Amino acid sequence: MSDRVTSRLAPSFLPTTAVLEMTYRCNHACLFCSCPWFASGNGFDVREELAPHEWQAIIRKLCEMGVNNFAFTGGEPLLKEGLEEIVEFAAACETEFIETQDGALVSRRGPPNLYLLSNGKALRQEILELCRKHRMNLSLSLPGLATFSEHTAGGDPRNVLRWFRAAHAQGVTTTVGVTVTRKNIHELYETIAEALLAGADTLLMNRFLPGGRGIRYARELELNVAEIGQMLDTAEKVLRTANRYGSVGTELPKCIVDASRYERLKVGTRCSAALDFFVIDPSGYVRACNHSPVRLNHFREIEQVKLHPYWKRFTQKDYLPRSCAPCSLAGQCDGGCREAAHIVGGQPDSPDPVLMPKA
Amino acid sequence: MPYLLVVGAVVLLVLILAGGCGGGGRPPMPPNACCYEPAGVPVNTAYVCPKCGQRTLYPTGGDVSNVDAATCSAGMALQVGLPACRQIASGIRGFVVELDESEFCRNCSPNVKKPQLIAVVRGPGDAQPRRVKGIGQTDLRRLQEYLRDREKALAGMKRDSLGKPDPDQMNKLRGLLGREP
Repeated sequence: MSDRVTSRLAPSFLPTTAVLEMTYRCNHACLFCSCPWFASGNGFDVREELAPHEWQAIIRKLCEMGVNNFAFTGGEPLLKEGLEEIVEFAAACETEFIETQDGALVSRRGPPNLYLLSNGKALRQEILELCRKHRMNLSLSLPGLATFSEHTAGGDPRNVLRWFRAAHAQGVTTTVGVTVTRKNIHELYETIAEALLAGADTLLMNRFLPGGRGIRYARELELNVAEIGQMLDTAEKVLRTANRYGSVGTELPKCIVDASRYERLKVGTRCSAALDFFVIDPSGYVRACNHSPVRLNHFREIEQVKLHPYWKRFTQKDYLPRSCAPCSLAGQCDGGCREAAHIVGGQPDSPDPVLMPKA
Repeated sequence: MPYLLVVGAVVLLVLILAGGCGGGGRPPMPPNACCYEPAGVPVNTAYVCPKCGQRTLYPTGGDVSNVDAATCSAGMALQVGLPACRQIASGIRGFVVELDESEFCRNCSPNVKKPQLIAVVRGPGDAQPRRVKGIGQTDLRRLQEYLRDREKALAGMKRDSLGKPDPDQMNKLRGLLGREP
């Protein structure tokens, strides 16, 4: 029993999930999009994108550093030239998985897990084949049915549903990503249900949070506390009926939601930026979260990230709003989304937008 | 909105009839919120050192009630207990209480086998801070309560059959106060 490993240094300081933003470009113009380069006046400029061989070098290094999961996103990742080669390269890499077995840590090596997040507009049969070949989970965005076109500036939900059916038929695991806004909450039940009926395996639901282009539309899109409750109840109801599971992507303040009410829907109250995942933007800069407009170091200087003051605020959870400090729930809650709070309130320890007084 | 009404009714009916269309068991769920699904189920618990930034991994599971010598290898104790200790320590009034977490970092403390949380305490009039090892949430809460209401804190302590306070609890409180309670 003396060989049981009950603690060990991780391969590196990095979380095990890397979100790789392949390109700044997108073929939708979603009202709710939080990509920081679509905001105006935040100083987040569009720089030269990494070439496919540079992405491959980064992926190789990240595998050496213990990254287990790669999520290819954007912008719209399918618009990135050479995406298929990048995915093939990642699938051929090997990384170390460190897991708990019988109360001890065990290590194994294997290819990383791959995830592709797309709006579906440029999806092709070859990409589905790539997903099937490498067991890459495909996540497709479906922000409404009747409101889909308005939300995405011209998209067609039937295209997304068609790809869910095709993916299901070919054995590709899929996730429907639904961003819930004040404009589409009235059709949330139908939106989730249509996706599940078309073959989507799981739901990943996000409430609208101001950021990127969405800042301009925040007043029209942002949910209040009652609407957030309605969103959760609706999703739970569909998931129960369909015997499926889902999760809420963006953390909620624990004081506005009783997560224990939901059996099918996992509702998080802790921020996992810089702890469970991190982001590399299309030009190779590291960020703590995809919502974040704060570029840290370039990947060339990856070792410097661990002591970057902004990174440390997230790894040490040094961002709880002052108003939350006396709360007895503070040990189990981060007061909502810290990056949305930063964007709206000016600091990561500002209150979550849903808790901010409205004019 | 007739389209939606029709779609809603059809969808509900089909979902009920389908009985879940092969939903299967619960898939791995993220412990924390993450806009991207692969956060997944926790396979280990990471401690990120505030000094050096390195990650030390611990197994998941275990007692969440405390962070001390008995539970320090339990990942959930780190995940839940340590943040709670930090929160309690920052809320203590009358004493300055800082936490030395360095034993939890395998980079800073490579030879420590059973890491423990250390409270660095300085009361009014103390020339030097004291270091009290093996501290957990209950110890910090007791100190906090003692500094608010001495009698209530002492009355709430665990006692033996003769009515004497638990010696371990008393020793911890004595160490934190730097004097007899």
